[in-house]
Formats: sequence, structure tokens, C-alpha cells
Amino acid sequence: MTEKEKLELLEETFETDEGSLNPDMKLEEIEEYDSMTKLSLIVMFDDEFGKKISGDQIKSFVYVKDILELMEK
Amino acid sequence: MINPMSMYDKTVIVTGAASGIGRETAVLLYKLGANLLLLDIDESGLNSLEKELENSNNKIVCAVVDLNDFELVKKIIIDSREKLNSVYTGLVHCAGIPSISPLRTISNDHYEKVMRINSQAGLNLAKIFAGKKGHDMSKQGSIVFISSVYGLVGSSANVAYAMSKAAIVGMTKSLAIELANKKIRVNCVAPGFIKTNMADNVNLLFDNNYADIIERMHPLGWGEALDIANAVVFLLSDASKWTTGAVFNIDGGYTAQ
Repeated sequence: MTEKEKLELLEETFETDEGSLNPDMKLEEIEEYDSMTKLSLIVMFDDEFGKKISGDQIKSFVYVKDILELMEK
Repeated sequence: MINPMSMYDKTVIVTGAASGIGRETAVLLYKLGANLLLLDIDESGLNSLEKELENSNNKIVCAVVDLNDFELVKKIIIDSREKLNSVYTGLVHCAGIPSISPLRTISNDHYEKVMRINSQAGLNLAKIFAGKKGHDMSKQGSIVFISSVYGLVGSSANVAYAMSKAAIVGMTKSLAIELANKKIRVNCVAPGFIKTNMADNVNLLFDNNYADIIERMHPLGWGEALDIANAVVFLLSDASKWTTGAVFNIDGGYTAQ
């Protein structure tokens, strides 16, 4: 999966506008990064990458790129 | 001394017996004298339970099975009657798939997987139990399903789970009417929150203390699996012989508000 494809998938998960995310953005500054989006990330990782991620891992994400790095099968 | 919850003349099928409410129910039934057919897909959990229950006078059969495989489940239930040397008087469907998923991430595959185990498997099990090779026609039979407070009231990020648990309420009431002439009672228990590792994990996602919020929603605080098992055993016992089509909210007051 290319970085562009990963960002598109994240934008879908965040329910944010197409092209609105980039790897260097701080997650706490993204309005849509709320508890429902965090839950959606857990489901997305499970469905798309077969990965079970924990609440601790979610808490450790600071930048968008931290999520992108884990988006590998 | 009379024990209205005695299970000495009962033979019960328990699904999801390897962990949680299913395991607690199996252990309580065992202590009260029931013969048991214990089903679960989790082999190590079932082996551990089998060791805990060995050396008893009760007859116990454990079988590892995926409840999606209806024909295999049917064969195990029918074949196990011989090993148990009795016919079934009760069925408890505890097996279930937890599902926390916001609407935006729900897929058809996920929804169908949750519905198949939580609801459809219960229907298939009831069909086997109510059949000629299932329960003891000469005695009263009892089917107990496990619903949830989420089958009764709303909550975010739980739509697939809520649909599967609300379906159980409808199934309970319909089957209670349909199977009354076969002397089979059908009831369900709707538990509130039982503290689990999954709940602790979700807690980490929220800025506020999720566990405290959940606890405050239960006037009596968090529940334990044994609280649910007690209600299940009551519904399997002769003490509830005039109870059918009922939904027992065992939820520490969650739905009383």
C-alpha cells in the first residue's frame, strides 16, 4: 500500500476531507481525532491489516506518521 | 433441606463454556449437580475447565466446536447423549462475539460474523434442543439465551452487537410461545457490564476515566460473571417453572434509570 493509499484510508477512518491529512500533522491538533475515531482505528487495523492494536498503542501515537508506520500487513 | 435450584436431575448444554459467563455458569451448574455438555471453540480454555471439573460424580462431556458448523454441532449434541447417559433438560447459549465498532467501520462481514454467533447460532441450537433427539419430552425443558443491556437501550459504537442482542429478545419471546406446548420454557438474561480486559483496554482510549463513567451508570457498580450465572441457573431450575418469554435485566440498575 502506498503512502497516498494509506492516507486515503486514514481520511476515511477519521471522516475527514480528502487530502486533508499529511504525515507530519500532530494528532491532537486534528479536530476529528476523538474517542470514536480512536475506536475506528482499532477496527480499521483489525479489518485491513489483521493487527490487534491496544489502547496503549493508540495513546502512544503523536503524529499521523506514527499511525502510517503501523499500517503494514 | 430443599434446594429449589438443585440441578441433580438436569442435563444441560452450555455454549461458550471456556470463559466468562459461560464458564461461571458451567461451574455453578456442576456444583449444583448437573450433567453437562460443554461447547466452545477455545480448546485450551475448555481443557482448563475440564481439569477443574474432573473427579466429580457429574457426567461431563467437553467438545471443541465452531458454532458456525451447524451439522457438526448437531452431531455432537446427539452423540453426546449416549456418553451422558441422559437426555437434555436445558440449553444455555453463552457464546458470543463482542463488537465495539462505530458505524463508519462496520462491514457486512463483521456484521454477519457477529449475528451468526450471537443470534443465529442460538436459533440453530434451539432447533436441535426442541427436536425429538434433543430434550427429554417427558420433562419440562428450559432454554436460556444471553442478551445484553445493549439489546434494550442504545449506546455508541455498538450497533452490530446491539442488533444481535436485540434479536435475542425477539427470538426469546417468539420461541416461548411456539415451544410452550412442548413444555419448553425460553427466557433470556440481559447483563450489564462485567469487568473484563476488553473494558480496561477501551478505558485507555478516553480522556475521562471510562471505567468510572461505566461504573456510575450502574447504581450497584460493576457486575461479576457469577451474578449472571445465578440468574441463568434460576431460569434452568424448577424454581422458575412458570417463567417463560421473560427478559431478566441483571444489570446493577443500568436500565432502571
